[in-house]
Amino acid sequence: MATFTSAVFQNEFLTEGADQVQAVVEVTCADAGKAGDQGAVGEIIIVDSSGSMEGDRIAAARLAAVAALEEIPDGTWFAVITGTNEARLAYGNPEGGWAQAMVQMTAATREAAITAVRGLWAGGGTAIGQWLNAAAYIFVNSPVVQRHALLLTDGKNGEADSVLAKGVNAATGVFQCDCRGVGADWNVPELRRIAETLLGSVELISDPKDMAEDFRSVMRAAASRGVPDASLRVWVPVGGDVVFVRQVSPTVEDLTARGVAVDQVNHDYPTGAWGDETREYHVGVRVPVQPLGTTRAVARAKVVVAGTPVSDAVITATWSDDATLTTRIAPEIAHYTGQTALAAAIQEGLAARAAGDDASATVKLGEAVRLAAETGNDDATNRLRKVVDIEESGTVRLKKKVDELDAMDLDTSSTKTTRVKK
Amino acid sequence: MAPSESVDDPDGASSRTTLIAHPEDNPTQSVSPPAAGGDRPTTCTCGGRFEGGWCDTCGAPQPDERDHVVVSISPTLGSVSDRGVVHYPNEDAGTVADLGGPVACIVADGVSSAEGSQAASGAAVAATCAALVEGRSERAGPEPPDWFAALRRSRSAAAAAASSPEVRGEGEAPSCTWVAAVTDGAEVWTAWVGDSRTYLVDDDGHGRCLSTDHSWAAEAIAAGTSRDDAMADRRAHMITAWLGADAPEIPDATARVAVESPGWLLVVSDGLWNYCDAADDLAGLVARLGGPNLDAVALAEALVGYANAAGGADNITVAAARLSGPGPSDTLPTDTPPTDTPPTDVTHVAGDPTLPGA
Repeated sequence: MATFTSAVFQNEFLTEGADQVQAVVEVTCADAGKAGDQGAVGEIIIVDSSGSMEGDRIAAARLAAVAALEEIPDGTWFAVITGTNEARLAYGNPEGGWAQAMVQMTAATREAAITAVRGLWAGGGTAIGQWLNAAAYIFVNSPVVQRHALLLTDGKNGEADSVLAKGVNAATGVFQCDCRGVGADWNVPELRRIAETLLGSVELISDPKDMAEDFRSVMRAAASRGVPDASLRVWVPVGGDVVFVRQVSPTVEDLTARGVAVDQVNHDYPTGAWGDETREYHVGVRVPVQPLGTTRAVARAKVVVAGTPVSDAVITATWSDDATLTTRIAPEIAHYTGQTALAAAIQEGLAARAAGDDASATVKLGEAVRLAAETGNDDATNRLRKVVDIEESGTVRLKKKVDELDAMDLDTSSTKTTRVKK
Repeated sequence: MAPSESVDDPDGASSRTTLIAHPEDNPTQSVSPPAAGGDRPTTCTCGGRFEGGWCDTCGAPQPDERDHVVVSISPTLGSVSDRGVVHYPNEDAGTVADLGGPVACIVADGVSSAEGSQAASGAAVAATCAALVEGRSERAGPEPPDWFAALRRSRSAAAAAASSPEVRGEGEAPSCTWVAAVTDGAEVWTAWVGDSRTYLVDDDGHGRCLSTDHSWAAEAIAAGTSRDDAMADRRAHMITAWLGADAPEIPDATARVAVESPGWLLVVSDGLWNYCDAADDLAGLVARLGGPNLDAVALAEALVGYANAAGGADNITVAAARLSGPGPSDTLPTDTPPTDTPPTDVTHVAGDPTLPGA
């Protein structure tokens, strides 16, 4: 049986009249078991088969899809979608249409699916909204409770924004989706938005040869998540508000807009499935001011599984007139505030660079270099060095020649944070 | 001071418990602190319900009878245990006892990482008190009593109580520090396990700490690390000895000193000494607070207030006994049988100070 534990990092002392409280809540899941322990599991592999995939990419995608199929445990419900300017069922139940597309993994279906994906060919456009819509339709009509997809693309979406948005909406809350981009022709911010909304990761696969190993590890990770779904329930006292809720480790994701009111004092934020892992959340709340010397619970963060709270982190505040107490800054809050700003600076800098605004790009990426150094994010520093030259004075210049894959790697990795050194 | 069982906190969010020895049931005066998990209110004054120690509507902390426990035996003997500002609930326990002339101060500090440590500290203090009181009949002879033997017996009783199945929670075994001190006015005997301490402070602002912590910091200092470096380490407060089911071998740590001048015997938890470590600093603080002129509970309250004003990061417990110093001390009934005559100025108000042999 999975157990969730939590710890709170904060400075609980507030100055007189202060109404803003922040805390970092660390949540750890242990003994999660494996996918399927709590109900039927479904996997859908979505492979971009647009014309641009022709050559090495479609060949690598076939091998990667085979690798993924080999990892999917027996008994899992699954299907393979091949995507062009429409979604087609590359492998699944041939009868009954999309609604009954999933089949259970057995030796025979694995064999048949592998044969099918080896026959994938490239041709046509990129319509990610339609692919997501098809996967959502399959999942909602299936018997599975734990729903995961892996989406591979190599190009920018060819649909109108509204069509993509419709597909993402259909998938939101229905399944989690890890997204992978191969090559240098896809749009990082676009795929990142999709992955974040669908509670999945986004990664660049620079070299098609690495695709099979990546697919294998995605499937292994999915199979290790024994808690199919959980929410973070944030409580604030009557008269208070949630200002923000961000996941800050292992990646930065702003959850604020995804809160669903449970009642007057509780909001639920989706967190997807859990394996044995630790995630950290940065929570900011506004609370009713209390007199000096008063202590109050000003926020609580509970993990809720199947409607039942399974952990409880209490964030307290004590109003004090002692400046030595109230001016302390919890290192965890400083660290993750810096890492959140780092992710934003990288993304904004690269967006400015892509738009040809070199002046803004230089400013933002310079800020990113400083924040990466301050927060000890050496991986980010190393990636930044491939896009900018950092002079000894700390001055930053855009490199004349940049491998576009390095810029995309910096962009996709921008949300990855380091933890506080303890 | 007019004691009462439960006085509302100004912000309505904490509970105060005052325990006074019952004259009839209690020929030798002693009081055990309340056990954990007594009758706590389930509904907040705002109308919300308490969940996990906090109101689910306004966030106020749930009152607990251990929040603020005052034990008042006489103007010269009393204790205060307070939950502090930050750490909920109060896992400290403390009390004082009149052993028929000689008096005892007892403190235990529950280890907050283990569920049930609040009950463990309460049980340890109650058992210590009971053992010291029970032993008084053995001491009713012409020979001066062997207080070390009495303290060791009470330590065994405390160790058994802290590891009894009744205080077990789920997971890690509950545990607590322990310290007890007895004085007949001329001398002080003390024994301890962990980092709760026995101090002697005189009215001129000089202090002595009789105990040596069983803690990472104390061991590091003994091994040559500077005090500042040791105390700044994350492990400084890790204790190396404690009472509880998973306790390593309990060290036989004791000390005995003569009382040289008038002052106070103070037995305290780290919630106080975190803010006033050096013995002379504590003595100076007591002097500034008006120590010579305060009664025992007022002094303990003042010291608790000092720690809370400094941040109150941990639970705070102070047990205080007035020392009149040498000279007239030979009039103290160190070797006379305990009196059965209760003082007349004490009324019983508090919960249920169940006493051994009562």
